[in-house]
Amino acid sequence: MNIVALLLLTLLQFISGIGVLALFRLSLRNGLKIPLALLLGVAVSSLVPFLLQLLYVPLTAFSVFSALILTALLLNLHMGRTAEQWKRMFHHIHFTMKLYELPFILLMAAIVLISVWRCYYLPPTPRDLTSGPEVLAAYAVREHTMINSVFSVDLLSTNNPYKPAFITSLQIIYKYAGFPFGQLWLSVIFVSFTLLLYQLLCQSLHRLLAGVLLLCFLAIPEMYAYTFMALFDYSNAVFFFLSVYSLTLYFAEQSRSYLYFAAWLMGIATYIRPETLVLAFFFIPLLVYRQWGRQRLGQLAQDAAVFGNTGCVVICGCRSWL
Amino acid sequence: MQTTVSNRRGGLLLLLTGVLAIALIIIVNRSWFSRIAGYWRAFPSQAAQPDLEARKVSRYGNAYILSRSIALSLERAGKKETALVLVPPTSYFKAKGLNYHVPEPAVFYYYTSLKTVRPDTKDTANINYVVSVENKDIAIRKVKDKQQLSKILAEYRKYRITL
Repeated sequence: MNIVALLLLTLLQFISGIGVLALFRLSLRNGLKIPLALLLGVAVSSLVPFLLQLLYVPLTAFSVFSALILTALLLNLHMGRTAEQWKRMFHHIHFTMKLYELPFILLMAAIVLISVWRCYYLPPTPRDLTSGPEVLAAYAVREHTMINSVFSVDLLSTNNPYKPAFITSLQIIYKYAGFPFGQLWLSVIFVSFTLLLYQLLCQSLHRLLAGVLLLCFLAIPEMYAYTFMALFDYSNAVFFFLSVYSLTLYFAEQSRSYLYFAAWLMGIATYIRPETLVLAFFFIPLLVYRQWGRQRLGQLAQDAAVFGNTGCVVICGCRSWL
Repeated sequence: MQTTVSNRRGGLLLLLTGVLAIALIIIVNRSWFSRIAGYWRAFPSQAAQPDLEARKVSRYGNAYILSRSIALSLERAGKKETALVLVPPTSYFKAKGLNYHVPEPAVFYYYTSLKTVRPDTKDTANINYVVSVENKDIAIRKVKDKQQLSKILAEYRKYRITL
């Protein structure tokens, strides 16, 4: 396995993620910040080949990785804010583990390892992937464009090539990084989300109970299978969860940064699966209900518009792909 | 001193509780866990087989092997680039005694870089090769004329087309 390439790419995504957190002025503790930055980095990098394609830039290894580096730099351009994020991160590095956490951690590490191995080793199987994003990505690497010879094939039996460019873009990046089957981006999402979930559970529960709940979550057969079966569902669920969690933080803290962050995350979830927009609108009554009395009507409408319309903007953007 | 001892005892008690909880979760989710154990057992043999082609063969099975063999025979004849191959549906192969799950054109293209069509295609004008089964073996024929193609299409359309 090309470990060095994977580590460098993950580091690049992490730097981008820290940049996004700094842009939203979010101050989180390390346990949350590190996995969240990785997740945000994957989301940001999934937009890069797509944007290059929209700008008619040929998708070569050089152009893709240059654009990824440039994105990481641009997101960290506001030195004052990002420097603070990095400083806080390095000042508070401490790792504690209780003895009773060990059996959970070992078992979960084994479960995670199997998932990562299967992502790396096995070629993509689901028809939704091989007749859509995967075949597009495979030929994009050969022909340096997402609008490639796949569209000259009889596509009567499938609409999968017209699905969002999220997976296609990530597959292109990971194929260029030396992984012929791509897919390892899903492992980055899975590992980061598992870490994040454990940290969130530990915030309000005993670590033993957090371990039990997380193991129960991993033992959901469909959910676990989606961690090595590259499809839209798992990533969509992760970003949808993050958005809703951020929205709850907005209700608790009344800091608008969390609302903007929630809206941005919902936009990412909508980019992965456009029907998420419907779910986003389901949260607007909750937003109005929770903020009623705390804000003026105009401000309330503005909040609802911010939360709902980010998805709309994403959908409009993705329509240009079609 | 007393606090340290009770802390240690508490820690051990929690460790025991944790191990019991894990055992309980495994028992409740036995079928899930046995599948994970199966994946774990497959690891050494998979690690010993790093060849990409072998990984594809073991994952995709006959669908990949037979599709590749169709593409390979056209490649050897130097016709792969210009060929548009009509492939009958899976039910046709089943009726002829062959276990071949025919991939849809996009997946066929992913496996082999060969352009194919199903019998329900609208693009019949450009079909220049046809796959059939002769003596329980896959044969690839060049299309002679439109009449022959219409006859073959009519025959293939009698079989149910599935994904």
